[in-house]
Amino acid sequence: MRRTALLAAALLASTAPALAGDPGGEARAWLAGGSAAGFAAGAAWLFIAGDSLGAGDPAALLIGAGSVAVGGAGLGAAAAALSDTEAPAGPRLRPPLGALGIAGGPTLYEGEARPLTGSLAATPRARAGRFDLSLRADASRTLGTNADRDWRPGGFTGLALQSSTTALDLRPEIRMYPGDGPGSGGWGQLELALRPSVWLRAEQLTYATGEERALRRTAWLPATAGFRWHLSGRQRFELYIGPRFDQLAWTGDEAGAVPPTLGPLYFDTAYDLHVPHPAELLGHDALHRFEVGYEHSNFDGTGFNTGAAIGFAGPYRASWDVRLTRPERSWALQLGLATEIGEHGETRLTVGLVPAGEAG
Amino acid sequence: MSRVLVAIVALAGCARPECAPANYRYPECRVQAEWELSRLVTSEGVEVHFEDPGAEVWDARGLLHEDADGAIYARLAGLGTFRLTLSGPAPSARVRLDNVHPSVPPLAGEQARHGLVRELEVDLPPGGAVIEGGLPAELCRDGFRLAAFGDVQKNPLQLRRIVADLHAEAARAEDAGTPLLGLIFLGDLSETSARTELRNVRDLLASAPIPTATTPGNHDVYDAHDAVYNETFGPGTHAFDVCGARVVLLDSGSGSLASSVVGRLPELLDGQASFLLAGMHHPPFAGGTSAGWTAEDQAQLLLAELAARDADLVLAGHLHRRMSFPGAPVPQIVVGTGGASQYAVDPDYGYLRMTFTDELDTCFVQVPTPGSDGEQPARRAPETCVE
Repeated sequence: MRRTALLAAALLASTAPALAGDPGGEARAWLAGGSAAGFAAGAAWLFIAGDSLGAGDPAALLIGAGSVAVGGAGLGAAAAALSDTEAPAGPRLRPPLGALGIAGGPTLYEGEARPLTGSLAATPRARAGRFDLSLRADASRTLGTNADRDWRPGGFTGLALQSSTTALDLRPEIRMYPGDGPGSGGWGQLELALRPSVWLRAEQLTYATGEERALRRTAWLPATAGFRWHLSGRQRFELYIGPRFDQLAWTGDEAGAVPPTLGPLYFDTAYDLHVPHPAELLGHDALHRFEVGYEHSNFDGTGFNTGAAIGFAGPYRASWDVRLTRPERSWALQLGLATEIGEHGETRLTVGLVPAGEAG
Repeated sequence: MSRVLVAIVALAGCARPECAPANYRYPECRVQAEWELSRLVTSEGVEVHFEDPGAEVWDARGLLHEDADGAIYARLAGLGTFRLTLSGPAPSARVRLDNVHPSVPPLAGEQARHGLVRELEVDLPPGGAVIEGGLPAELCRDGFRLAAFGDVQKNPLQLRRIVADLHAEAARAEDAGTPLLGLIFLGDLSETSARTELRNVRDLLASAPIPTATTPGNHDVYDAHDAVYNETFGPGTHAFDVCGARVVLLDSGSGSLASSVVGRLPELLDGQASFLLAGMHHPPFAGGTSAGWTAEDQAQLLLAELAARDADLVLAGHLHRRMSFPGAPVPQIVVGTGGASQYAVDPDYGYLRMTFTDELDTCFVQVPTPGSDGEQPARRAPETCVE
């Protein structure tokens, strides 16, 4: 009941500017209204049909996308009440050309270890007419070994499991601008994108018996496609969806492999808001981006569970990025802080460099 | 919220034991609970615990508590051999042993039996006593059967019909020379994890002709403060050997496995059995369904370990229908057909029949609702059994 009330309040807040003739507010109203309907339909589908879903999970898509859209619209409405959200704030934040990151969380339990994860990402891009081409490569590795204790009573004091993971995500992207760009109205409000991906995970495990296993998990997402909608000069909503194919291989005494087979449906949705810093920040021009998002994937075990709805949803995320530029410099610094909201979600800090041409 | 507080405390450099306090919605806490519930010190100081029959060490192979009349209630979790040890200052102990196959020969100290329950009066010499037993080897010389299904939830009446049909199945199995040795219940026994619901299911299963090995589903692990499932049925993760088949049940109720269970996978899965079966609530191979694992990495690891050992079959529920997955690395059958809603005009309820001879054969025994037409065209695999 409380969640419903909060969603209704967000919906109402997002529609109020529309009533005042605010174009961005009108877009938010359409987004929030449609998404709220989708959320309600998905929630009804999931809670009525429940576990009986036998093929795919469109209900989770409606809930995930709907909650992000309605929540984001509420965030946008609050921002609109406090500042101008219509005028473009300059070149928008994008993944840095190169970035270093560190992620992790505290080790909660005695005798266990949760080392940090270090990452290195690169996103070269090029523009060709109405098309924007990029390739994002994100590599990460646990900086040490995860250690889980055996907590069974009765003298079990050793380690139950030790593990480490090396990950590589590759995502080429073709983005098309059908209109004359954001702000031009009509189709200019939309970007269309094709972003196939591959996720590689190499895991090394040592069991309580000392037996070791190396596991290589691969997710192929060959046809992920979607759109980005510019609700206003500073607010955007995006959604991407596609099939996922899972591949598995393992080494050890009984090595083996499984070819790619159809896995759960994948989608990703986000709402972001750009906010220029009102004054100089540390001697730089600063542009902030706030984002809330949802990724429908439990590939890395970070799904969001509530009540008996276990295993249906992937993680939500919230992030803040800031780009610091100075006119005389050929590079801008971009800092990011992102957190995953779900089981075993991590918080990641990144520092990256953006070419001045992209930073305005 | 409790994890947030733990994280804050941990940031302050105060890491602490897991499950202190316990949240039984997390699998590791249920592992601790099921181990604690497999040992008991009675009001008379008698110490009892379940053991691994092969290793003769403490193992979470059942549930123990002291009844109001002072008898020790012991519920076997698995379908094969069992062993309990007792010691203490009392000269004897009364034991009510539950979930025992009727074909298990009389046990030491047995006074009476009714259905799946044996009443024992066990002498306690200074060195302690042992209760052990199992199915006679000649019982399954020519093969045997097991039944399996999951997902009853809000339809215990359908469970009642299935239990009644199991009596007919036991007779059919006897006639075929492949006796029915047990039932595997693949989770979602209840709808809301309420103690009354779980006890109702346990009482219904007490009418079955054969014992039941259970594992919880997501609907059975709501309660953060009480390990209600474990307090009713015993362990959710356990393994046993029955007539040359090794059956490993894994508690996936939280959409993941406890780390200590993942760490013990080789220990649980290894053995000299002719058949290897794994059962859990959430199917580890998604195959185009939503499957339901929060930790898909664990699901894939489990598939790799099962495939590395040439496992014969993975059994699961969660999806309220019967399904086979021909593309899975290990043959997988979903039978969430115990009565939970299928949103179908004519639901397809029933259970899986597994016949173990030189090979493993499976088919589906329909237990239709009253007024149902029975077999419908284009039913899914596995196919309906033909008598």
